[in-house]
Amino acid sequence: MNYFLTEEQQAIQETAREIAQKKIKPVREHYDVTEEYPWPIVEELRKADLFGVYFPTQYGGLGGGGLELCLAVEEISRACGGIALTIACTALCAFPIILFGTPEQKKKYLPDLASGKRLGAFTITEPEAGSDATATRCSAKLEGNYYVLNGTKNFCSNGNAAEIYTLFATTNPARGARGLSAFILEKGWPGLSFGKKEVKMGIRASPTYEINLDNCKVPKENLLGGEGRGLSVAQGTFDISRPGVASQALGIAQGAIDEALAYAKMRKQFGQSIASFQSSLHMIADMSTQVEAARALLYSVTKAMDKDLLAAEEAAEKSGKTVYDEMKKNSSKRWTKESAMVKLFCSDVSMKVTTDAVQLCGGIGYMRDFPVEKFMRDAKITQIYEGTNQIQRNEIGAAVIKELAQKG
Amino acid sequence: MANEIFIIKERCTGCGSCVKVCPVNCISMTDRAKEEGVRWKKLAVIDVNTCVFCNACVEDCDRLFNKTKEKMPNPDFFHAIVMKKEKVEVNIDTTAYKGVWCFAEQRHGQLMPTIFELLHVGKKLSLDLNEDLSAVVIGHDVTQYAQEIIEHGADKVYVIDHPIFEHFVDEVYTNALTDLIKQEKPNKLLMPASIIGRSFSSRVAIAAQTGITADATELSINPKTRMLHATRPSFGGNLMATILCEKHRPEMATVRPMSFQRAEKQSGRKGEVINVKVDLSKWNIRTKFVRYEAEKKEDIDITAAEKVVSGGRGLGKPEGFKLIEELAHTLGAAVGASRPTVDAGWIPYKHQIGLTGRTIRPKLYFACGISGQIQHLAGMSSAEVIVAINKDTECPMFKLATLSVEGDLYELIPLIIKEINKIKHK
Amino acid sequence: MHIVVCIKQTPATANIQIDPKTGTLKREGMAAAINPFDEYGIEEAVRIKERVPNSVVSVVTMGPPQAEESLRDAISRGVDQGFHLCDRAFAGADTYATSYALQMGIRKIAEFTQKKVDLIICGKQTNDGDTGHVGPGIAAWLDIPNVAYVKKVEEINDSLIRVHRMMEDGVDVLEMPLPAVIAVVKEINEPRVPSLRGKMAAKKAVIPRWTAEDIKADKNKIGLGGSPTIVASSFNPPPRTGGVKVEGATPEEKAKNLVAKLLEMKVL
Repeated sequence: MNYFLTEEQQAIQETAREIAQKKIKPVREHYDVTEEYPWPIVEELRKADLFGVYFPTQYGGLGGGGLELCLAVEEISRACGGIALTIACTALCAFPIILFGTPEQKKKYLPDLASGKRLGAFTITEPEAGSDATATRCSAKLEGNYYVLNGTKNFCSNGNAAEIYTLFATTNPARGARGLSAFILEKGWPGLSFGKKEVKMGIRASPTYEINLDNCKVPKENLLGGEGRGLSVAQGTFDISRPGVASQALGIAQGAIDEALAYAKMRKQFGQSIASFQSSLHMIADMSTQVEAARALLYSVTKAMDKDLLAAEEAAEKSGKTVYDEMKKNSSKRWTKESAMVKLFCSDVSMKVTTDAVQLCGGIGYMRDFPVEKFMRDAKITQIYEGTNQIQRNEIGAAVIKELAQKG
Repeated sequence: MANEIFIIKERCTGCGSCVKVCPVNCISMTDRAKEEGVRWKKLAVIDVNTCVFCNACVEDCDRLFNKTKEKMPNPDFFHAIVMKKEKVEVNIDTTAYKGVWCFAEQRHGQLMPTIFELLHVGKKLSLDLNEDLSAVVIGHDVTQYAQEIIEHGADKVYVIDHPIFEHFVDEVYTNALTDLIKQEKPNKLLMPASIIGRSFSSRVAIAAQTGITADATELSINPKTRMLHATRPSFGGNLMATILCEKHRPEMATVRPMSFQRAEKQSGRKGEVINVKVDLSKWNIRTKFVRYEAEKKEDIDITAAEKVVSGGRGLGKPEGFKLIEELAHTLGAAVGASRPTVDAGWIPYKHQIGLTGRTIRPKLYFACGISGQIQHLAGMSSAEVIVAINKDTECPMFKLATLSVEGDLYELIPLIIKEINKIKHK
Repeated sequence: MHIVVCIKQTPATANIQIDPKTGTLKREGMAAAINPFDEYGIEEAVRIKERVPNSVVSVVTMGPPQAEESLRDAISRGVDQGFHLCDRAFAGADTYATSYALQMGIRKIAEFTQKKVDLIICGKQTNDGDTGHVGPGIAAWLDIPNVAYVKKVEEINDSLIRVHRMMEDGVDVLEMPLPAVIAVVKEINEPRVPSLRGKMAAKKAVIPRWTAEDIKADKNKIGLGGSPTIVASSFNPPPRTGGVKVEGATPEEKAKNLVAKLLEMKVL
């Protein structure tokens, strides 16, 4: 379907597709099996400028927004949903800096993230604090010019491959959610170390680590968004970043369809290709329709959201305020509901479609010989991280009720 | 003035015959505009940017005209393509050039067997021309090979022997051969299309200001014109083209190895050995040979390889890949594998061919003990020539294979290696 | 360092198909692209540029107007500038006339950019002509050293290049002072995908288009007229016979017959 993408957006799609099909597809199984980090692919993505598609040009980016990121992540996920996280996790690290960073913070960290020279990660989850971020135990105490951080973060995607982290800790445990603050940390700082590496069901090319903070000194200027504003930083980030997960889910679904259809056309039973049976055709029809619907929702939401985001980025450069503040000022609207809808719908579709893709292929679909089962394993995480789909439903439901109430 | 070619619209019947004869595919048929009042519906159009002005379409259209003329006098169609070719004056006295020459390649002081193939075809050309057959050997301590070359049919052997020729360096060899050509004026010069031959033959041709055909697989002499007709594959073998060098001498060609059989040895055959003196002071040699590194038995990359030998489950045991490697080594091929052997840990993943491995497109593919599951075929079915070796004649690979051999691969492969080595070392 | 890469736009090989009815090359799907071997040349030039400070990479092609696309494609892969030798007078050139025109073009590039050319890189051969003659030919015309079948650039600086030449039996290492010509094989690198910034630069690039006169080419050495060789005729090879079972009473006989067949097919 024609989504009337600009020439630049089409170029992003083509470039990401070329790397995905030529460079990633042949090695995706290797990284799935070995759980090694795909550094050679990162190098390809760097050289092709794909890390920079959503960064403002002042910081070495190509000046795009959420849609540009989604197009890249979707195409890469079409080959491997795990490898796509090299870019997607970096985006999750970068968005809070783009949205809440001071001019100095942006100048210091964004260019390296935009070029892919250093990768990023975002870490909020703790053993006791999953969906409930208010239960955060990890603490940050101001001592002179430094915050001293202590505690444990877990399930950090992009784990030890990242060199820049946006991390959440509480500066005032007594205030609960209002005590949460965000920080920018760098790999190699004393007191920051990596714990257990998780062994996962899917996205195995992406390392998930525990991060231990033991009297880790973080310079005061690396506080992101102000003390006690951590929850706003997290929520504001998720509003913008969730389409990224959605695009990963969408790419995984499309990749599964690509593989399953090619096989179904080749495979003959009862003297005809299995794709020609009506039972298969109906499955194919449902899978394709759901994926196209998911894509239509994703693209239209990100397109609309980017209008706000890009305008706010421009205004922030002039005013010196944060992009987030500019966004709030210029538009009464927050994107929580829509971005949650996109994430919810795309990831549910992805799980459904990849499961059906396995079914369509029959026995071979279940085998590790064949890439379809990997798509199914990779799809599952998209229903879980960056807010489980249950949380997304809560958000959407609450927003809908709130809108109703506002209308009176 | 550039070359011109155009179609006289009124004479074109739109028969499409020229489309078929065009070697570069630059003619297409379009619908005529209706108002022209011509009874033919189609019209030929020539893309002048692609046209090589080979005259094939002109000749074809004239042939149709002549054929029609037999039935009806003065037909007003065909004879529709007009070509105006730029004339370039070349003043070379082609009759001053005599003899067929073959370049004898040596590597590390060893004579390469390609010379015997060249002598075989060269002999035929020299007999057709009734001229001498000579060979040129360049190297260090290579005089010893002159007699062997004579015994394989050469009437004369030019030996250019000097320590400077020990290793192949483009500039050095070019100077030596070009100087000799200018001095001796051979009529034809054949060189092997080996890496050495392909590297410097073109440099020689330009230095000697003549034309060259690369990679010929057929060679003949036109009895009338006494010119060399060199036929070579192009477009990856999809098209054969016969190339002439009309006005320049010597007519040069590199010859694809193994395209001709080797000349028979006639022990005791007599010929002339000419030791060529070289004047190094005239040459400006800039390239320095640093060192030679013998081939480490490193794997050839399967995606780039022209030949691939693959093993499958039919090997029965991991040691089977030793045999596969041996055959691959004999052929200069890369080693491939089917999925089950990789999963079983018999060979690393990088060798895997198929849906979850590499997709390849070699000239020659040997499938040994591979039944041909669809996942495997997806990775190699576009190979040009597929050889299948298997016990099971009903397997899918046999249906796809160009050549299939039924039998025990442990029995067959060593015999195949032996046969190939026989040809190599004959 | 100023590097010039010579490229050609050729039909994409994967699409070359013979029409079984007419026996001609099928036109449809004859998408044109950079000759695959030249992509390795482009990549190597860009890698050398990344290695040697103050380097510039130019790319040149001789071909019809539409060949400009291939120059833009090269720019998207990291090349700095493109030059197009485009004149009907160039058409029909064999390797002699092609290498002559290209080297005249390279002389013109040096003059135009006011930067002498230090290294010329060609692909091993083209996928339509398959000769491998143009690279060494350019070196012959310019009277500079060359090495073909290069699989590795071991060392390069402003005055010399040391390369590995892939031989049938191993590797020859050779050293040349610059300027020089190398022709590279596939083994040398893995070409990158065009970058987004490269694509934007490619779209904007102004590509000079030069005629035979612009490059001061001798009319007697270019195009069909300047080519010593001509295509006299062309024909389709007999279709490959598929599905032949190699017979033989004994395994020895089968092996012998198989090798004989392969020899006949000229694939050994």
